[in-house]
Amino acid sequence: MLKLTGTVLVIFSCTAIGYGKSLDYSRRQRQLEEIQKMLHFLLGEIIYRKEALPEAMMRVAEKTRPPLSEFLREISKEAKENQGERFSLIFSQTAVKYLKESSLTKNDLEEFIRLGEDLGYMDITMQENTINLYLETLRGEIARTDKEAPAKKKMYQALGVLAGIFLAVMLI
Amino acid sequence: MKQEEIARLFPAHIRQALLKAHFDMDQVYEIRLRVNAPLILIYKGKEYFLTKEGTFSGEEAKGCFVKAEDLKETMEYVSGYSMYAFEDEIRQGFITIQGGHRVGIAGKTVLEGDRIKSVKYISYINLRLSHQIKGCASPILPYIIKNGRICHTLIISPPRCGKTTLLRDLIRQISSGSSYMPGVSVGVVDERSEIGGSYQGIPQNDLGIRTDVLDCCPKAEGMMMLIRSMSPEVVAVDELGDYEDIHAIESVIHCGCKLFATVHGSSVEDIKRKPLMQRLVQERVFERYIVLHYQDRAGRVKAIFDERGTSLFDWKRKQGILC
Repeated sequence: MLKLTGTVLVIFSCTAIGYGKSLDYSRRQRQLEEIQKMLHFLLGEIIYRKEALPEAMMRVAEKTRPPLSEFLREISKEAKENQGERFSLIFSQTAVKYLKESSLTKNDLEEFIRLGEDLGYMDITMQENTINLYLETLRGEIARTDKEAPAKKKMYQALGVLAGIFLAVMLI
Repeated sequence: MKQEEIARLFPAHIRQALLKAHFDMDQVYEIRLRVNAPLILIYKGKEYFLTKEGTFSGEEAKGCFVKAEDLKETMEYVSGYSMYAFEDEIRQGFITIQGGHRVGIAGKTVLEGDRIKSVKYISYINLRLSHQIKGCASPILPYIIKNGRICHTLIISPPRCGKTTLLRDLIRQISSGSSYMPGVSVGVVDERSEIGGSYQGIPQNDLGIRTDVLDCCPKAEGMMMLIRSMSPEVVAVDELGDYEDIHAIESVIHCGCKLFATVHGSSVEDIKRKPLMQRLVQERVFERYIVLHYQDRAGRVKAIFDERGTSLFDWKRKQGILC
């Protein structure tokens, strides 16, 4: 009886892990889309309103969801109040603080931090080019994840179930 | 004015020195940074070198030494890491920051045709701190109100003699009302954000309860816009100079509005030598000329004239009014 309960629990846990990974993949897709939306707003603030980065980010924070909204608010506050650091450093430190635990991959985060290295540098055209270049990469990544999503989600779920069964067989 | 607010516009070593210093921030008029030269502070009308320990010194060698990197860093902080947002201002040679303070810049200009496109290698920065002195226009008011009616007034002053400070308080008192007359609506075209010191559209200086401010707007266009949209009784502008400004003034006057303006100069004769201003003086557009000068300190009234050039006030006889 005990063995059967253990086996069921192992299968159940592994299946849950698989489904969790699959949900994480969906969350990553949503977060990449949220970053894309955020950058479109930011581009508008910079090009049409000619807002400085701290003000632009504070305004965009009102239109985005956590953790991006929190990231934007913090970076704006840091840039306004604790001036004395390079913007790229404030950007990367805040990104790590708020987005490291998100569903974004290490590579997603590195790409995002790289964007911060060039923001604020030179004129409006440079800002437009910097953001558009990143958006292009992001669009490619979103398209790739969208295409791979059904197969990957099914794979995570199936792997979870199969791993559970495999472990259960091993235990028996 | 908080010392901390000003200090954080500068790189770490200058910031530390400014934070250590014990001085009355309201008496600091300018902080000047020049590449490979010591930092200079204009305090109570005198020039000092600020030492690393935060003390004032007359010895050049003791002053905080400014490097090219310090200027670059200062510009980053002043612009909120967003130089792109100040392209138009940089083209004019200054940025107005929160609090209405003006950051003047000089360096190598980048030309596009014969127009200045930008300034690169910014090697000189002059932070001019905005000061609101409430009540400084009180001694002037009886001279610019005639039979309960406001006169078209031109403030003539060399740089750093307090013309914007005087204009700001005139606006405030005319707008909120004084013992000489009740308040009237005032429209301010604040092309350089110096009068109101607006930050995100909100004036940081008190300009009175009946004042509408058009911030960062070219004077000529702004004056017409205000007349059409806000119907002010008085229009106020700082630093007249362009042909368009003079043209717009004529429209303001013909609309029945009263005008308060300032111009760089040291006397009425001086501004008569400027071709654009000459016509306004000859046509007696302005009913009052207030001439400021620097004697012991900024804000001394040297003379007040009416449209005919009759002196209404002479500082030599009255020892000058302190504005």
